[in-house]
This record gives sequence, structure tokens and C-alpha cells, in this order.
Amino acid sequence: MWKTIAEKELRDHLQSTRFLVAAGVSTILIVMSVWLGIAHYKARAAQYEQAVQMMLDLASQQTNWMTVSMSAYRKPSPAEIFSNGVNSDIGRYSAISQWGEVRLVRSEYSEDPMMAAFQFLDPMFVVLIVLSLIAILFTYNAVNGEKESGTLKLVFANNVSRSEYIVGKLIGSWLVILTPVIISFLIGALLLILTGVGLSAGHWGQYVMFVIASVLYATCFMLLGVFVSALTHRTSVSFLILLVVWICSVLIIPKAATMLAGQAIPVPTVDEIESRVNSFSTQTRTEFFTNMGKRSRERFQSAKDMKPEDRQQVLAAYMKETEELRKEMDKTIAANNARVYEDYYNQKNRQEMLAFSLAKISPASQFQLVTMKLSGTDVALKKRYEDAMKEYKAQYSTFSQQKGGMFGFRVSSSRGSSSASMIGPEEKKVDISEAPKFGDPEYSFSTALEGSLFDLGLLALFNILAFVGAFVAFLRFDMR
Amino acid sequence: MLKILLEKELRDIVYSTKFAITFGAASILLLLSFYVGIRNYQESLREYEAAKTANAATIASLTEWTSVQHRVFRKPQPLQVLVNGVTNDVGRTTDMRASGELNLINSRFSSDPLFAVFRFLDLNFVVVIVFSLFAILFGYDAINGEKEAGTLKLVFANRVSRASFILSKLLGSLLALGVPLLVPLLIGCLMLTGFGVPMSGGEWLRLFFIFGAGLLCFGVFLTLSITLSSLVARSSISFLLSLVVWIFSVLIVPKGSVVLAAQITDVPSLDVVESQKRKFTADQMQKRMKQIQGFIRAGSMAGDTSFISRFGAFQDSVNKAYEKERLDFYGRLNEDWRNRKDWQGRWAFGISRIAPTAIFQIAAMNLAGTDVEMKYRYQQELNRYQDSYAKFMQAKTGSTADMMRVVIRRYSGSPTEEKEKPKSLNPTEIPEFGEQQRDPGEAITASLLDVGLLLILNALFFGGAFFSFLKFDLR
Repeated sequence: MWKTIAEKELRDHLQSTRFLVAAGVSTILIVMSVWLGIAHYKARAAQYEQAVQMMLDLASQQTNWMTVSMSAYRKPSPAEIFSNGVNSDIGRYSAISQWGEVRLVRSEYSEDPMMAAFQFLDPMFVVLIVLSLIAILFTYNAVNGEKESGTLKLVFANNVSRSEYIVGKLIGSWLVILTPVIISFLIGALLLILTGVGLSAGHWGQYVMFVIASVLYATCFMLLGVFVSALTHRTSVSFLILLVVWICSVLIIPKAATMLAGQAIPVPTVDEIESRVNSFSTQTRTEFFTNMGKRSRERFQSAKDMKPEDRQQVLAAYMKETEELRKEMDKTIAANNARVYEDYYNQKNRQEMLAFSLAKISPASQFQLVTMKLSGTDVALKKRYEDAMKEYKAQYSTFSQQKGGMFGFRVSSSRGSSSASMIGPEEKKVDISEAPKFGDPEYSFSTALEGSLFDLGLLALFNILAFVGAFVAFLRFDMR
Repeated sequence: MLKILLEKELRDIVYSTKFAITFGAASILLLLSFYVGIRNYQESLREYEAAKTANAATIASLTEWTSVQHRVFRKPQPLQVLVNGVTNDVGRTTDMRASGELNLINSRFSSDPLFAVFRFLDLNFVVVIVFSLFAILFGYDAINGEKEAGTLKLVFANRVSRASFILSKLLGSLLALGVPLLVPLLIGCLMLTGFGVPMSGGEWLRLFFIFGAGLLCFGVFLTLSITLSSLVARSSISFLLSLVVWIFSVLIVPKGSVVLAAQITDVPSLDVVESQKRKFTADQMQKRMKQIQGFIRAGSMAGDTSFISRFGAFQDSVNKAYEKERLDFYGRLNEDWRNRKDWQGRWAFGISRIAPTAIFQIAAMNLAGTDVEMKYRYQQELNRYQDSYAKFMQAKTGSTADMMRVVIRRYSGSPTEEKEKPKSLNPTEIPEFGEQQRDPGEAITASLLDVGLLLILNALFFGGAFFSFLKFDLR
């Protein structure tokens, strides 16, 4: 029996103008957003290639490693097409040098405020806003609408059980919503193949998971629609309630949750942290320099009357000692930085945990967080890159120290030779291929899946709850 | 007759459950956005002060001006938290240097991506999403709903002209919905004063213009949906159409136009500009190194004490020439890039103005000073400050030169320096960085086009509703 009802429901909807308009709009929008995402990704990838190439070109023209300026760029990933997340908010690259801290700078939005004014249109956004609205639009009158038009009584004049009816109804509505979603994502997949984005198997996995998350999300709102429709007797009221629910869960709760967390767990700003770190390192360095100046004068004084060989020895000892002290100082600074930053990140993590736990009351933020995790554009993206870049910085520092490229302290050994060591005796160009290369942090399909499984489960749980709600509410629905 | 109809319309709307729910929701959101904005403002002001203090403390702990790393911070403005615009995307911090290009770093969203995920709830957002939805909910069945309910025929059984009916409908709904919205807006103003947010007269004026633009945007959606309602016979269809219009104008057109403009116009990425600059600087550096090398070779062996000061003077003279050359080159590059970017921006915003919400957003951002130009305006201020900072550093250290000189000085510390204990620096000596407030006249002028456009759209749809109702099939 439920099959007949589902079939009737499906036919009812498929022939309506409502379906035509809604399915048309959602298909156009999803396909368009995938296409825009592809265009955007390609532009970004081209920009990345160009930037890296230019950096290497410039570097390979230098004759000394000291004048080489290295940067590590974030490589765009095709998974960003599905959900852009915080990708455009985070800096695209960081300069890599022995002295400076790793800092991601020049985010897409800060560089191009025009983009920031309206932001990007990614498939995640279309699903988030449009699919949920459409799901509500199809179901707000699922039960009470039939009562208003009198068809509900007619149906139950036949030998139909309530549970069969509601199950048929839900399945029918679900298929109605599923149709445009599946079609548009299939077209999206076709676009992804035809435009030659070059998705790996892992990326396809991410895409499939994205579609599954979208279906779960849309189903959630559909079930909610039927639920509210079975709770109220007038369609106008159920529509209003659903609209308020929609506004709250899509627009209000996520924003309010982060802001509440921001108030509840204050985290010092980066500026504060940086100035704390800077002031410590500047102080330590100043001490070191003063100390070094003093020692150098003492040594020179004592070595004044020595024989040239002895003088050389003293000098060599001095240089060794300085090098040791410098290493010691670097270690102290690094240890302090690590401590300050660890505190900072711990605090931030707690803030984040609170914000996201609060936000997850709403299925919309669950969905958003899931897709960001799937695409690797979640909040942790910044930390992942910073960590990878810090590691790379250490590698590169060792390398360039070996090459004697950095502004070493040898400069000070004697004034006469300082210029020589600054510029390098030979005019040979550096071989840039010797330098270590920056490897982007791994973000595989399994990592993505692992990170998002919990939230997906939560979304599924919401679905079950809404299903039970709709089911029970209809069993108790007053048909008169 | 018009008066009776108007009264009926007003009563109809104000007494409905729909009005109670939607108006309640809109007011709560509006007040929430004010509250959040105020808290945000206070918070960022506190952070701003803390960062400034920390910077001063760092400087005070040093003993040499040469080792100072001065930072300046962008001061939060009250209007910026009500209409975020691009505020949170533009860097807040600048490492001040006496020469060279200045960069804006640590934007709110880049340093706190948590807040970038869901963004903030600001006044602009409430107007764009909620006001427009509110308007549509009341407009979509204004005419065809009455037909479906049968009341339309009843009304016209009396001696009522079509013109007076539609006029009362339009004016009635504009009044019944628009005037109540003033209440939460005014409460918001009271909150601003109550929480002690410092607002100048100019800022109040700009805020009222933002309110005006918001109400105009609301009016556009109301008249538009009434037009649709009198064009289509069934209210379910007009609702769908209005919703599609809403989705497109709120969500799709603005975002789409930016991407489209980026496809149409060709602007090189800043990386290219950056790399050109780097190459130029690197070439200069090589040349300069050679000169310095030559100078040192010629002079250093003499070992006389005046070498350091002569070297400083030499460096400064070389620096100045290079600096000028570099600035010219950078200036040309920047200007060229800006011109192309402006052109792209004109395309993007031109296309986006198809959507009334985008028009409002552009107007509001201009009024609040958080428009796309904000970054460039701020950079100009920084450049102006850089001049006075350079003068100050010149006076303190005798040079605006960079690293090179610092290192040389450090290594050659003269014996006299050692005897007197180095004194701590006084950070208040550094010239204060004061941002200029945006001139209210300028902000308002910048928004006039868009406010005018909103007015025209109001008039257009008002007329549209009027004339389409004259032809409406009452049967």
C-alpha cells in the first residue's frame, strides 16, 4: 500500500509547477556553482604555478644564497571546488627565512576586497540555502495541506493504515527532492570530467561524500517539513514556523554560536601574541649582541699584541664560541615561541570546540562543517599549513646555513673581509634545485572521511529524530 | 474611499499572525545585530588598545632606536561593526618602516578563521536577508490572495475605483510594514548611545542614511512582489516567483557578478606585480652591494674612527637615489594594477546592481566606509604617516637606512657607549598614528548613485504594480 501512496505523491509533485520551478532553479544553481568552482580553481592553480615559477626564476638569478628569498605557497586542491570554506580567508603563502616567523599572508579576500564584498558561490552554499528552502517548500503542506483540500479524508476512507500512509508520503517526497539533486550532481560530475580538472580517486571520493552529505541535509529539512506539517492544522502557520526554523538554523545559530564562544572564551589577538613573542626575541637578541660586542672587544684587545698565528686561533675560538652562543639563543627564542603559541592554540582550540558544539544544534552548520572537513577547507587548514611550513623553514634554514647564505655572524670577524663574505667571492649563480622543496601537508580521502564521520553521523541522527517526529506526529494527527 | 481602504489594509496587516511572527523575528534579529555589533566594537577596541600598549612596551624595553620595530594598528570604527563590508578581510596591522612598501597583515578573518566560517551577523545582513524576505511574505498574495479568498469581488461590488484600491494597497502595506521597522532601528540607536559607543555627528548622519537605504531596499521588494501578485492569478505561483527573485538577488547575482567580472576582465595577480618588484629590488641590491663593497675596500683599511660616520653618509646618499628609483618603479606598477582592478570592480559592481540587495549593500558599505576602496584609503593614510615616521627616525638614528647600517653599528660599538648605561626608549616620542575619519559628505556622495537607484526602483515597481492591477482579471 505504501508503494501506491509514494507513487501518487511522486506523480502529484512531478506534474506541478512548483516542482518544475524548484527543480529547474536548483539544477541551474548547482551546476553553475560547480562550473564557477572549476573556473575559480583553475585560475587559482594557474596563479599558484605562476607564482612558484616566478619565485624560482628570480632565485636562480642570484649569485648568493643570502639574496635568495624563498616562499612556500599553498597549493590549490580541486576539493575546494565543492566547499570553499575558509580557503579564501587564509593567506596564500609565507616567506621562508631564518629570521622571520612563518606567517601566511595575502589571503585571496584581503588582496582582492572586491571578492570579499560578496564572497564566492560554491556548491556548499547553494545546497545550504537553496536545497533546504526547496525541501521546506515541498513539504510544508504535506499533511495539513491534504486536510485543507479534503483529500486526506478521502484517502482514509479506503483501507489504509496511518503508518503506511506516512511512510509512503515520506518516501514519495524524498524521491521528489532526490531527483533534482542527483541529476544536478551528475551533471556536475560530467563537468568535472569534461573540463579536465584532474580529480584523483580520493577527490572523487570526497565528491561522492559531499553529495551524500547534501542528500542527508536536504532530507533533514524535508522530514522537518513533514513533521511541522503534521503538528499544525493550517498550512500558512506551518510555513511560517518552518521559515523561522530555517532562518534560525541557516542564518542565526551558526553566527550566534561563534560569537557566543568568542565572548565566553576570550583569546588574545595575534597582534598581542606576536608582540609578546617579538619583545622576547628582540630582548634576547639585544642582550646577545651587546654581549658579543663586549666579548669581541675583549678578544681584540687581548689579541692585539699576539703573533698572527695565535691571533688566528683566538679569532677562530671566538667565532666558534659565538656560533655556540647563537645556537643557544636561537633555542631559547624558539622554546619561548613554542610555549606562547602552544598556549594560544590551546585557547583557540577550546574556543573553537565550544563554537562548533553550539553551532551543531543546527543541521545547517553540521552540513557546512562536514563539507569543509571533506574538502579540507576547515578552520584547521591554517594550522596544517603553518606546521608544514615551520618544518620546511627548519629544513631550509639548515640548508642555507650550510650554503653560508644567511647573514652569518662571520661578517663581524673583521671589517675588511666583511664585504667579501656578504657578497660572495664568485659570481656563479645559485642552483635552486639544490634547495629543499616545500611539500604541501597531506590531506587524503581517509583523513577527510575520518574528520567528517562524526558530524555525518550527527546529521544522520537528526534525520532519524525528524523521521520519528514526523511519524509519531502523524499517528496522532487530528484528521477532522 | 481611499482612506477607508487604507485603514482596512493597515488593520488587516497589523492584526495578522503573520505580521506578529515575522515582525517579531525581524525586530529580534535587528536588535541582536545591534547588540552583537556593539559588543564586537568594544571587544575590538579593547584589542586595539592592548596591541598598541604591547607595542609601546616592547619599544620601551629597548635601548636603541635602530632596533625598534614599530607597529601601527587600524582603529575600529563604530559603523564598521554595523556594516562589516570588507573590514574583517583587510589587514589590521602594519609593520612600520621608514622606507619601502607597507603591508597590511593579520586581518580578522585570516588570523581567526573560526569567525570566517559563519561570518558575523550585522545590520547589513539583516536588511539584505530578513527585510527582503519579510517584504515578500506580505507582498506575494496582496492582490491574487484577495481574489482567491473572494474578497476582491466583494470590494469591487462597492463603488471603488481600481486606482484607489491599488493605491491603498501599496501605500497601506508600505506604511503598515515600513513604519514598524523604524521602532527596532530607533531602539538600536538608543542601544548605541546607551552602551556609550562614541559616534560623531557625521557618523549619525551616515547611519541614518544607511537606515534610509535599508527601508528603500525593503520597499523595492515589497512593491516588486505586489507587482508579481497582480501579474499572476494564483498566489502559490507568485510566491514561487518572488522566492526565485529573492534567491537570485540575495544569493546569486552579487556572487555571480564578481566571478563573471573576473572572467571578463584580465587583471594580473598581485603575485606577478610582487615578483616584478622583487626582481627590480634584487637587481638594485646587487648594484648597491657592489658600490658598498667598493667604498669599503677603499676606506676601511685606513681604520680611522671617522669611517663609520662616513660610511653612514655614503649609505644614505646611495640609498636615497635607489629609494627614489624604486618608488617610481613601484608607483608605476601599482598604478597600472589599480587601474585594471578598478575597471574590473566597475564591471563587477555594475552587473551586481541588477539585484536590489546588492545596490543596498554597495550603498551601505560606502556609507559605513567599509567598501572595497577602504583598503586603498587606509594605505594612503599609512603612506602619509610613513613620511612623518621617516623624519622621526632620521632625527633619532641619523639614517633611514635598513639592516645594513644597524649591523655595522652594532659590531663596531664604540668604547664610549659601553660606559654610560643605555637608557630605555620613550615610545611616546614616536609620532602618533591618527586615522582620519571618513568625511560624511564624501561617504554620502559616494552612496548617492545607489540610493537614487533604489528610489528609482521603488518608483518603477510602484508604477508596475499600479498599472498591472488596472489590467488585472478580477474574475
